[in-house]
Amino acid sequence: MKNDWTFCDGNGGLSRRQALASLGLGILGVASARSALAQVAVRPPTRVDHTLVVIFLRGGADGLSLVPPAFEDDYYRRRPQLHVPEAVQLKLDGKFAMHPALRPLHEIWEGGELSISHAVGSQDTTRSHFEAMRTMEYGDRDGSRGVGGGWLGRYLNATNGGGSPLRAVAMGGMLPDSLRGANEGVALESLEHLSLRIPAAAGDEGTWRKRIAALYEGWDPLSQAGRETLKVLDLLASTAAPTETGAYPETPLGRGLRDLAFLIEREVGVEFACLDQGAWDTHVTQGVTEGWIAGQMQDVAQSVAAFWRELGPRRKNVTMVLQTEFGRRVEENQGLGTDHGRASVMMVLDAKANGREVRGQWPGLKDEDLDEVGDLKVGTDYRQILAEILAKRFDPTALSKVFPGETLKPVQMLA
Amino acid sequence: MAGISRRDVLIGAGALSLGGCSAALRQARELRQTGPVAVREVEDLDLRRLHRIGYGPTLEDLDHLKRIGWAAYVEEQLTASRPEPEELAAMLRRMDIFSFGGADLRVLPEREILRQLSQAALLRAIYSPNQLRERMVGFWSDHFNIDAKKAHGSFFLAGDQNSVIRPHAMGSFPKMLNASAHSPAMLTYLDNRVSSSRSLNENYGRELLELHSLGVHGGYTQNDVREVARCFTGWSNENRFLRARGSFRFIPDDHDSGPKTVLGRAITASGKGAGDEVLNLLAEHPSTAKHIGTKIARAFLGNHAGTWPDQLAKTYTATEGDISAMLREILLAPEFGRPGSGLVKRPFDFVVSAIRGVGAITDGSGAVQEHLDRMRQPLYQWPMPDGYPTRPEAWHGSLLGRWAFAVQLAYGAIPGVETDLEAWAARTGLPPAQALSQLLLGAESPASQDPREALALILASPAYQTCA
Repeated sequence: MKNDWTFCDGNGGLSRRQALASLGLGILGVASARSALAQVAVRPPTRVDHTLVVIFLRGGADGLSLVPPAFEDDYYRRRPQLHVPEAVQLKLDGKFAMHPALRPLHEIWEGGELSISHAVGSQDTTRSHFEAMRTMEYGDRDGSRGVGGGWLGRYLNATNGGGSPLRAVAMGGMLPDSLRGANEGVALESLEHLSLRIPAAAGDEGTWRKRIAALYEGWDPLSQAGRETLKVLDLLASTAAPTETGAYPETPLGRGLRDLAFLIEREVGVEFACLDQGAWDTHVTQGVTEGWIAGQMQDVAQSVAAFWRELGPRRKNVTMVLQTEFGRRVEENQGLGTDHGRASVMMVLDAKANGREVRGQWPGLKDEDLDEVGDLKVGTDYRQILAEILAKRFDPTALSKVFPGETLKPVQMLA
Repeated sequence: MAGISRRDVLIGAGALSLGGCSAALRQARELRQTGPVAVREVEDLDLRRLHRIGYGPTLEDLDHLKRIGWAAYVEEQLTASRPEPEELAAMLRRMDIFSFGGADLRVLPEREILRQLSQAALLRAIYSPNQLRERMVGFWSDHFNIDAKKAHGSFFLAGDQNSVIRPHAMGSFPKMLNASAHSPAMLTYLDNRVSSSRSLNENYGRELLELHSLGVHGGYTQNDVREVARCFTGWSNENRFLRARGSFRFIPDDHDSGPKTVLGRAITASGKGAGDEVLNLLAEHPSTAKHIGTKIARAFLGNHAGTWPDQLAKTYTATEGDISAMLREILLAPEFGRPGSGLVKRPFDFVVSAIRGVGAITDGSGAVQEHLDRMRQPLYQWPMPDGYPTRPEAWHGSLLGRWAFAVQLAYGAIPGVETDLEAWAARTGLPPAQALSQLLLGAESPASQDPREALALILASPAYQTCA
């Protein structure tokens, strides 16, 4: 991102404006208040072709509760207290079922816009949350750290965005590991906080934005982060944020998705959005159709469904993936909870999802099918799903940079 | 006291420290320092050191350092020997969380407990002259992270701070590890309270190994996690009638008394002794020495940590885990305070250093805590056992919150915080804008002659985020 005007001016008659546009930079970030370039108009909204929303369910979500393998006797045998009773299971494909608390997602499944894969995980056998999350956010095969940085960060670096400062956003204020290593990536706590809230005695907000901008002209990471933040402020200064919650639950995920829907509708160039949900680490009193895990499911299902509904026709330009760092042990523990496991579910929402049946290799729940600790084995590598999304909805040529040296067969989550 | 319940007494007492802002703020005003100081400028090196050994200097600190020099300053900080302001102690004493035991606090709403906990942390960090101790309290609170919002942990958190973190923050790591294992707050947070021979819960066992002692690469297996968890079955909280509810209690009936092997060694002690033996084993383990040495080296030196992790590991082993011995080496190391460490203040550091820097008066309540919340560091609410992140990138999203705080502080727009820039500057004999620029940033010329504007820009600048 070098600010090299002489190169541009000397480059065979390119006008300064053309040269700037070709750099793909947010003009506001480059120009200082004193420069003539400040007269260049605010960059118009940036269209992107497609947006990916990644929701990471934190804590190890119990795939066997989210999508019970209803056809397996061993499921009922090993979860005497915690299995989802058949009478309330929602039908999926005749083999697997869905937990009743996910009903809003079930409707999306019936509408053909949800794909589900089971027994998904990584080759990392760690049961440490942080290691497992790191593996998945880095897009690594297993615990041995690969190329470095987050998988989304690598995609961002390997491709050109439209220059929007909001090309990659983390709703909720903290940048996840998946976005590490990229220059783009803004952590948004919430839209209503996207303001300096200058007290009256201090003057007006626009003047302060300029003053602060003059402080953040360096090339160190902090200064770059400052510039990104200012670009966001400038872009949103002209639009009004949503105030009503409406159909969204009053939860961080609900609010995050509501705000994200707003940003997508404003066409400010959001290409990737990351959200975190939940406390899925149900070691004790997990609950079945009510209680801890059911509450988590309701939050996810209602928030996601409200978002999907609000998008309306824009759904064809949005894909959403729900993932978790690992699942939970098949055998329930005597605290009426479950311990850390391996494989879990992964879900994808898309206007052309390949629903109708749960995808991927199902290793089975018999004693001999489980791993040495008693966990469901991994039948599908989580990267197969992420790679399929990037290949079919984004730039397939970037895959070799995101997952170098890997052949990742799609499990056909998308048509 | 007939007819008045304990609840009434508690709530009555609580009202004094509650957002009865006026009362707490009045008390805080007693903490205002006056009188001239002999500092007019400060070296970059000293600024960087002072922003890292503690939460940034007050005028008193700058004056004091100038007179006694760095080595003596460090020694004072290591022994926490500067007198604590009596007003600060008085404010803390009046808080419910320090007047009543864990279980008794249940009459108060949890958000009030949390508010008081955060208030105490802020007041101590802002007003204690023993800054290194307060920084280490913060450091170990992250290391032995407890989420106040899980399982009513807030009720026991003050107890944890008082018996685990504060007494040992610059003392013996093995003793702190031991205290943590007995802490009702920790046993609740990591589910050990409900772990028994019939129903084993591995959560505490795992985090004890992964986060508290050996570290994730410390050389333990999934089997060790299980065996350690078995050793700690029965370590729980008191919940019987007429006993001190919420204190530590070993429940023999819950203990798994079968043979256990941890890290290749057979555990010989039985009953509660098994857990004690594991704690000794872990505290002495070379991986623990390396893990703790690494964390301390990185916290103070950042990119300049170099070979200090190994050096501190040796010190750990030689001194049986003496934290102040490790700190002494690091604080006197030539790399300490060197530019280019890559260290960035987290929101709590930023807020505290700003308030200290200009000698502001605050009750540490409401509005200040909301600002911390906007910057995504609401205290004691990190859900994962690994503590608030230390890598700088995790905090880039807090810049907007910092800028808002900077402007609002400078223009006196934060309820519960009072600044008097003219009186503050008068102590130095310099014009306000110049005093702020010199003494907060070590910069010669201020960005503006208007002291409020100058202060806002100083606090908002990148240099102020990176320990000057």
